[in-house]
Amino acid sequence: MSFCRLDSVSFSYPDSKSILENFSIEFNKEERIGIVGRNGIGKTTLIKLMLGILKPQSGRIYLKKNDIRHMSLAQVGQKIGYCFQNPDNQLFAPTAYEQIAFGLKYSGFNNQHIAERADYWLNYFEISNIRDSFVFNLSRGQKQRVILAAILSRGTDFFIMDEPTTGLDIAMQNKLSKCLKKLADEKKGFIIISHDKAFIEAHIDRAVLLKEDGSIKDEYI
Amino acid sequence: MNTFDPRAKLSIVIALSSLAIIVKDIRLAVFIAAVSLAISMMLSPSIFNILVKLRRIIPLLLILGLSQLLFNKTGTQIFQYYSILITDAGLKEGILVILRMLIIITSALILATESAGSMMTALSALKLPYEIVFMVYIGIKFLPIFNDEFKNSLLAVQLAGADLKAHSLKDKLQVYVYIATPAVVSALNRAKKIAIAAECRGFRAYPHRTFLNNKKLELKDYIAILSVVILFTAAVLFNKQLV
Ligand SMILES: Nc1ncnc2c1ncn2[C@@H]1O[C@H](COP(=O)(O)OP(=O)(O)OP(=O)(O)O)[C@@H](O)[C@H]1O
Ligand SMILES: [Mg+2]
Repeated sequence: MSFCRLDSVSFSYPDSKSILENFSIEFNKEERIGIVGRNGIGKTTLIKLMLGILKPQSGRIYLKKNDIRHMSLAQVGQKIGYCFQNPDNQLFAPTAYEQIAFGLKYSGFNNQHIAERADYWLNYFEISNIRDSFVFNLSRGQKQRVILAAILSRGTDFFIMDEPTTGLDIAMQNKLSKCLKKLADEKKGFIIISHDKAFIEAHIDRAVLLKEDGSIKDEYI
Repeated sequence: MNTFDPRAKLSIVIALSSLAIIVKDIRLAVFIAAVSLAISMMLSPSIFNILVKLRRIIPLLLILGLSQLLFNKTGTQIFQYYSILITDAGLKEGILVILRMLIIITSALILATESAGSMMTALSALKLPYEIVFMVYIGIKFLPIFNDEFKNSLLAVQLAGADLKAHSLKDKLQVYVYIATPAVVSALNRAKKIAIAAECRGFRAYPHRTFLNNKKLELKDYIAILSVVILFTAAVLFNKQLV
C-alpha cells in the first residue's frame, strides 16, 4: 500500500518560477528513500507539500489514502516524524527535555513513559548534561541532536529528515546511522535528504534525484 | 507626485485618522473616506495593488459592521424578524464603523509611501529623541522576521502532534507559550547584536547627529499642512453642528 502519493502536483511560490510541474510519485511505507539534487532544486519544498505545510496549485496529495487537504498538521505529525532542515525553526521549548517531552505527550505516552523515553534519548545522543539548559543558546550540532532525539523518541511509523547530519560530528553521525539501521530492521520507512553521498548510500534502497529540467531519476538500489 | 515632506504626510494622516474616530455623520464620513483615498492615490501609483492585497480584511470589516447592525438596539425600529431587531441607530453605526476603518486604512497607506529611513529623518527633525525613533525603525524593519519565526514555531508545535483546538486550559497555555517563545528569544538576541553593532559604529558617540539627507519643509509642504489644519477644524466644527 502506498504511504504517500503525489498525483500530478504543480507548485510554485508566489511570484516565482515553478518548482514542481505535473509531478507524480509514490512512496511506500517500508521504503528507505533518499532525495537528492542540487541546492534550491526543491527538495525541501517537495517535503513541505507532502506534509501539507504548503498547498499545491493543482494536483492531489494523499497520505495513507487520506487527501492531505482534509488532515490537520497535528494529524500528519502523529503519523510522520519530520526533522526540519534548520533546527532553529523547529525548537520551541526552552529546554531539551521539554522539547522532547512535548512531542511524547501528544503521542499519547503517560507521564512515566515520557520521562523514561526522554531520558533514554537524551542519553543516546549524549545530551543529558544539557537536559535543562536554555536550548536557544546551544551550538548548532547540539540543537540538531535535541531535534533528532525529539523526533526519534516518538516512534512514528515513518520519518522524514531534511539533512539530518548537518552539524553532527563523526561520532554522532555514527549514532544516527545506528538509529536508521534499527528503523530498517523494525520495517519502518524514512526519507532522507542529504548532500552527504556516503551517508545516504549506506541507508537507502531507493534514490530519487530531482533534475534541473523538472524530471526525476528514480531508481531502486 | 510623491514629493511631500514626510512631516506633511504625517499631519495629513493624523488629521484623517482622528477625524475617522470623531466623525458621527455618514455623509461627512463618506467625504473624508473619499478625500483619504484620493490623497493616497495621488501619492502612490501602486495603491490599488496594495488594496487588493488587503482584501482579506474585508470580512473583518463586514463582521464589525454587522455586529453593530445586529446588536445595537438604540434608536427606532426599522425591521424585525423574530428576535432579529434592526434599528436606525444600529444601521447608522454599522455603516459608520466600516467607513471609519476604511479611512484609517487608506490614510495609513499614505505613510506607507514613505521609506522607513526617510520617515526616521523626518521624525528626528520633529525633535523626537533619536533613540526612540531608531527603536521604532528597528521594530518596523524586523516585523516580517518576527512573523516568520512565529509561523515556524506554529508549524513545529503542530507537527509535534499538538492540535491547536480542544485541550485543557493548562495545555492551551503551554502550546501558546511555546509558539511565542522562539520569536521573543530571537528578538531579544537580535536586540543585543544590534546594540553591539550600533556601538561599534559610534551610535550616540556625539550629542548631535547629522544626516546625509536633511529634510526641509518647502512651500508646498507648508501649504499642505495649513490646508490640513483648516480642513480639520472645519470638519470638526461641522461634525459638532450635526450632532
Ligand atoms: N518561502 C519561499 N518563497 C519563495 N521562494 C522560495 C521559498 N522557499 C524556497 N524558495 C525557492 O524555491 C526553490 C526551492 O527551495 P528548496 O528549499 O525546496 O530547495 P532545496 O532543494 O531544499 O535546497 P537545499 O539543498 O539548499 O536545501 C529555491 O529556488 C528557493 O529559492
Ligand atoms: Mg532544503
